[in-house]
Amino acid sequence: MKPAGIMRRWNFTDYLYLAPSLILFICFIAYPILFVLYGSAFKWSTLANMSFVGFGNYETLSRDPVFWKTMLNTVYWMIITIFVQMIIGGAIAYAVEEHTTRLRAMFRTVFFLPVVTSVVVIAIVWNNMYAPYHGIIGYWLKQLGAVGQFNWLGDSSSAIFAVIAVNIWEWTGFSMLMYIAGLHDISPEIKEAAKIDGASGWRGIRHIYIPLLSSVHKSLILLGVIGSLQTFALVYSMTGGGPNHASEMPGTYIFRQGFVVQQMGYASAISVAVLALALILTVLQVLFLGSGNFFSERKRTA
Amino acid sequence: MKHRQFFWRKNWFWYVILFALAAVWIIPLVYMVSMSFRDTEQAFDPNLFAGPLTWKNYELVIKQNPLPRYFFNSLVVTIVSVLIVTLGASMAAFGLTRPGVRGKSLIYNLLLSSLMVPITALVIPLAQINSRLEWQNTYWGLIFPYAALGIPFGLVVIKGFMDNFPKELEEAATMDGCGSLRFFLAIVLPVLRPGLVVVVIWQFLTSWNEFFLALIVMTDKTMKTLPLVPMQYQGFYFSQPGALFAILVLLTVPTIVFYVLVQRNFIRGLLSGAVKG
Repeated sequence: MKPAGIMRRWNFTDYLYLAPSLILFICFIAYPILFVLYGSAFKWSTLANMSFVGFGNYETLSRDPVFWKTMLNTVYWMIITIFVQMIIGGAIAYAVEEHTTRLRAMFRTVFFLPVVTSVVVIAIVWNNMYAPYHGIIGYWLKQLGAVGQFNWLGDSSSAIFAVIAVNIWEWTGFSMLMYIAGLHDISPEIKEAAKIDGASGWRGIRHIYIPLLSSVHKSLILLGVIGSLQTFALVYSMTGGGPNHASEMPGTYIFRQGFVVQQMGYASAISVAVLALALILTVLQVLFLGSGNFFSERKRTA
Repeated sequence: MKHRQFFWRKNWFWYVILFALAAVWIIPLVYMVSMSFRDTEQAFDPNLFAGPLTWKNYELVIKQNPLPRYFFNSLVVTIVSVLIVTLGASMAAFGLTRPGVRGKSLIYNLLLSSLMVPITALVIPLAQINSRLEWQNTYWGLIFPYAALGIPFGLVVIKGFMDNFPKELEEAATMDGCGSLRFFLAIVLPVLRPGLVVVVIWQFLTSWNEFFLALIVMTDKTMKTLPLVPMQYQGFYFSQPGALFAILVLLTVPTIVFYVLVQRNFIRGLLSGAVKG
């Protein structure tokens, strides 16, 4: 935002327009962040019986193998979901927008339906599809020649990846929509010029489309990082973080520590770790990829 | 036949790929619908289209459960939070253009920074706030957090439209003695409409489907919102998968109908510059 040429005076009524947003921000975002920082220095289950432990919770956290498991799972989650969604979503957007004339609305809608469907519904449906013996996934794999039954969600080596696959199915439509918006910002002249220059097909994708969609890539990475850190519903309702913490994510671990075993102080410390990670990853991204995403002014490639 | 297939000719390759992928994509939803029409004996038949079909499951779950009550809870929470987000975000976007406001970029970045805050990290303090204000099991306990978390995205979208707002229009309005409130309501809001549509639809879906906070705040059975309902029945209908799936279908149909009805406006809003792509 550039400063106005002339400094004008402070105006109370003008601030009133900002009041609702700022009040909500202070009460439900800023204050909770401060509170969770404060709460992480105590051992407590209710506000009435807090005992100060300093950095005690963080010391326990640093030696907690389950916490490190959630970090590893978060890394898997981020890397796999973000890139697979970008590739499939981008490919669908490209196919629909650049190579079809009819049925566009239908394709756009079909791939977006999982995004609008309730996560818990998705979880129950996929749980049944994954189920050994009666699940349709195992059945089809068997038809294709696979031997034996495999318990995708019940096996600790596959559980997290089985959930990640569902997450990709759920959110690819969102990536598609962002790429569709991005494709509409590339002017037809550029596309035409590229075709005339012989940069069609794969070469066109590599040299024209991928670079010109860079702000979409960045937005999706940013949203994907935050989305991974706030994963909860899918894991909670598909595996509950199990078996034996194999698919535990920070969200499910916070829930378990805070609301199941009532270790609010410890859960607060995990929350602070998640906040710190979100902050670090955002800063790193702005440093290395630039802020050419949400935060920049909209540029039309004209 | 020749005539009806003309749009295929040039791009048949892409259509084949898209149809195949769309078919794969839709399988879980087809499976859900198929399961909901099966008798218990057929429930574990791995065939996607196992018959015979029956309406029994729907009759059973509608008779047995207060689904309208959950629907009402979700509707209240969703509509009020959508209203607050849409109005709050557009007021803020307008406020950020006012000459009387200092520190605009500080305020904007502050609000925007909450986009980077994962909700998982806030559930502990939000639960404490709710219990202290006695908002546990009340609509406010969800409405305010949803609104606070939704405003930043709404602001980004609406500001994208606000930035293209013609300055001359504002100057002309001021000269004519149009107060800022009248200017906002009568001129700015109508111009922002495509952006508002995107915010309303996106916030509607977000509030309607939110699970984590709802799980913690709505512990009383009569206050539950729809996303909490299937878990509750997973054990209850363990031996009747058809009934469980009938509930899933009943929960899903309204959102899908909603999206199909609004998708045209949603996409139009997106393409007209709502999201910085």
